[in-house]
Amino acid sequence: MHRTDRKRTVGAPGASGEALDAERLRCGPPENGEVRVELRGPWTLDRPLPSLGPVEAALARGGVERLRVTDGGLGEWDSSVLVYIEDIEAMAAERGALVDTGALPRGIRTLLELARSARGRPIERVEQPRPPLLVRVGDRAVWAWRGAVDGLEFGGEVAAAVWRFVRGRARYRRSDLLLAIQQCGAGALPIVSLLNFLVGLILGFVAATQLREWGAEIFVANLVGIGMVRALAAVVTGVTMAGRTGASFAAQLGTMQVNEEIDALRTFGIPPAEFLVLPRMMALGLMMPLLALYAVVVGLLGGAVVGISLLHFTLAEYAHQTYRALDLTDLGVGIFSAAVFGVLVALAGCYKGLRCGRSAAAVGEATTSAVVIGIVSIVVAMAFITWGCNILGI
Amino acid sequence: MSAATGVPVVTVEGLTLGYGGAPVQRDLSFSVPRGSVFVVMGGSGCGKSTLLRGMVGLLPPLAGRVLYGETSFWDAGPDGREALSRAFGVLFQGGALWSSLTLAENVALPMREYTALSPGEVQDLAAYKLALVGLAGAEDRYPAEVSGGMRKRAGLARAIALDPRLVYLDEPSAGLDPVTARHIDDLVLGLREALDITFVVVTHELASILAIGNDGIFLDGGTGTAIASGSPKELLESSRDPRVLRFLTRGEWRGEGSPPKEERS
Ligand SMILES: Nc1ncnc2c1ncn2[C@@H]1O[C@H](COP(=O)(O)OP(=O)(O)O)[C@@H](O)[C@H]1O
Ligand SMILES: [Mg+2]
Repeated sequence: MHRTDRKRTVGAPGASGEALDAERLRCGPPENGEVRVELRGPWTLDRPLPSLGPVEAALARGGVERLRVTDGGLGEWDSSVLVYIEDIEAMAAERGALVDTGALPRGIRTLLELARSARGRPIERVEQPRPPLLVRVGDRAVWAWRGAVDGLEFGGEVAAAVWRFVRGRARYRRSDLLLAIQQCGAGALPIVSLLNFLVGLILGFVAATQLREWGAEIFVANLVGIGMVRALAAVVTGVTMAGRTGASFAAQLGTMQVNEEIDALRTFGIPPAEFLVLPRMMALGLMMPLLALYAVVVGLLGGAVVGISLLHFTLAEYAHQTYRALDLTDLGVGIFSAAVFGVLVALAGCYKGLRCGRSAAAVGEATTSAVVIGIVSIVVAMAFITWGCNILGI
Repeated sequence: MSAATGVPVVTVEGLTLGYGGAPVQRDLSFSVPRGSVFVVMGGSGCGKSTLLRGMVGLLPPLAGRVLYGETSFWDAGPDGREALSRAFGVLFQGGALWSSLTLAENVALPMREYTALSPGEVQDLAAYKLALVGLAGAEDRYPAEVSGGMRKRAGLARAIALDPRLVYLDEPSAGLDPVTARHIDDLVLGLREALDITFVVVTHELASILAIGNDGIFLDGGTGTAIASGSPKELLESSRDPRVLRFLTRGEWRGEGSPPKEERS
């Protein structure tokens, strides 16, 4: 296909190159419609291929019926000589001339033959042409609709699993639940601590610079307190868990899908929603409130550091102000949000894992989109919770 | 047509299977006689695993029926399907062992779900099934810690965990060295003999096909249909279809008429 291109680029050296070419390629004038092409010397990939020019020139004179490629003292050779001969063949075919390679060493002939027979075989699957716009829009719509239906189906399966759990009939392994709890509980503490401490610190700092102008520094405690307890601890922890645990759930289940482990469960009549999703969902739904509670404490500490070091309150003053600012409802809302986020993150991870394709790349995609869906659903859920609290006057 | 006689264990009627509405195999009809080793033959990617997924309840068909005895699998409700599933075991292409469980736990899990045995009895039975496939002593290993051949054998032990009358095997000997592959074939024949299990074996391993198969169907990827059925040995003797003959003679056969003499044995 790109033969002519290469001919031009490779075959355009200076005078010395042409001299070298002549040593390796000798192309006689046509005799009785036959051109002899003699290959000589070493033909290896570490030197440029000779120009096809002489052969082309000989063919261009017209009246050539046969090209005889012969061994005129061929030295060491490798696949470079093969592509060169194939180029000659392509050129000859264009002009309707035959190429006779019968006089070449046996190895070269065998390899040429192998490549030829492999080329002749049709490639099994051909790329589909890009469908027209309308078709693509339609496909997209159908695809989105199927996705929605599929999501609902998954929701139904999980609901059924929860119902069985409530009746004490769910089939899952306690050890799976414990493992998941360990994974998303204790294992997550360091990163949750770091992030929430920093968020508390930043919140306190921003509040301090603003409130100082009004002489209302003490309200830093209110702002950090309400912000962390009601929303931020849960959101920051939720986002952390989406990246950490949601991704890991998707990767675990996706790998199981690739290995047909999920299919094996199904053929034994064990619903993956019970056996795999339920323990993970419970683990994250249970652990997220605890983590959020812990995150609140760490976040308040972050705020306190600002209050004490920057605004020169005593710890007691700061703590007292925080205590006055908060009530149990705030904490309740925060904890409830955290539990919801935990369930959503677990569901996003498990859903993407169970619907993963059957390749390693698909596991990667599943993991990525589990994180994205997890984070998006946290934010959306937060909006709904805030709205609901507003209506209920909480 | 079939070499083994007996009541069909599973019958496929006009089955069309595919993904996203596009058929991979169309209008398949055959029945698997009791006590046979029924091989599903065909080149890579022709839809053998797809057929198996349709038969074991993992891929709803686009058309047609799968009958276990008299009952149509896909027309039975979810509970009916679950009950029918109990009657067969499946060995997936890669073994598909649950990677977080040991080999013994893999075999024990279905027993724990569906039998009234005590945990101790389940454990003994799981160890026995593993011993049956030559894996005594490897009970406590995890799937990642054993070789591919051992995984397949453990998968086979799990497939026969609930003593099914019918076992599906997807490429049981693919990717294994000849000796291990032969061992699996022997295992299949032995289990059929001893436990009266009917096997449906998906395979493109010629040696395996000829060694264990006594009935079968040949799927063609190009046309998306079955192009021959019957005992593989008989097909080799008497088939006139060049695609079948080329497959059964490893591509040696090129011309018209009978396959070359030296390939028959
Ligand atoms: N999940 C899937 N989605 C879409 N196409 C699939 C899927 N699985 C298999 N196929 C296609 O179906 C065809 C048959 O595949 P399969 O049944 O696995 O073949 P084999 O005979 O090798 O077991 C292949 O062309 C494959 O690309
Ligand atoms: Mg397959």
